[in-house]
Amino acid sequence: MMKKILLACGTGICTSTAVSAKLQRILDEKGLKGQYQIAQCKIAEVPMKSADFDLCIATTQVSGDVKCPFIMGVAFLTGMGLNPIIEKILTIFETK
Amino acid sequence: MCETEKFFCLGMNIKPEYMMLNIKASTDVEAIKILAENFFKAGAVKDTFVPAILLREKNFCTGLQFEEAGIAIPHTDAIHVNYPAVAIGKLENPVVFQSMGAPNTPVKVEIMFMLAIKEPHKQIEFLQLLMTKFQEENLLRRLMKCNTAEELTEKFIACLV
Repeated sequence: MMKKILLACGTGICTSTAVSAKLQRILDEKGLKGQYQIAQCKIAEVPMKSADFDLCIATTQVSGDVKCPFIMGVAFLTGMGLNPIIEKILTIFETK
Repeated sequence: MCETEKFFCLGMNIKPEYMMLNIKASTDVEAIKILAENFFKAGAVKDTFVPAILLREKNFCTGLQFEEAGIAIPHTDAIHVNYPAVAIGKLENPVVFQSMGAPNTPVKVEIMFMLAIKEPHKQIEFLQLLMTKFQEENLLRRLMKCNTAEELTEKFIACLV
C-alpha cells in the first residue's frame, strides 16, 4: 500500500530536501521503490497538512499537533543514530 | 558577480575572503555575527543578512553533531543574499549552539559553514553533498587543521570536486 511521507524543515526547501534525497535512496535500497510518495513543507504547515500523511519526518521541532506518526530526522543529515530511525520508518511500511 | 572558475564550485562561490580562522566568541550569536559581517564586507550578502541569520538561528537552530566534530550551518532566506556563497569560520574555542531539531540539546561547535543561498533548488545539491562528505570522510578534521584562509578554501574545494 502506498505510504505518504511528509518532510519538513524551517523553510521547507533546505534541509528537508537533503533528507529527502537520503531517505529515497535508503527506501529504494530496501526494495520499497514505488511504494511511497514524498511531499515537503514548512514546519509551520505540519499541523495542518499532516492528517493526510502516514509519516512526518522533520529537522526541527513542531509546535502544535502532528496528526500522523512523527520522527525527528536530523540523523539523516549527520548519520549519527540513523539505523534505529530507519527501523522505525520500516515498521510504518509494515502496517496496513 | 564573482564567478571566477577557481573559486566557483557546484554553484557556490568559495573564496578566501569569506573564511575566518580563530574566531573569538563566547556565544553562538557572537560567532555568527562575526562571520556574517565578514561575509557582508566581502559583498556576498546584503546588510539585512546579519539580523536575518541571527533571527533564524534563534527560531531554527542549526547545530549538528557529527562524529568528528560539532558544526553549525547558519543560513537564511534568499532575499538577503547577493550571490550564492559559503563562508567557513573556525572557532578558537568551541562555542555552544543548540542542535537542529532539538533546541535544548547543546552542540559544541568548532567550525561553522555559513550558507548564502540564492536559488534554493540549485544550491540544495551542494548541501546534500556537504552532509554526505561530513559523514564519510576525514574532512572536518582536515579542515580544522588549516592555518590560513587560502588553505581552508583550497582544501574545502578539493573535497567537493
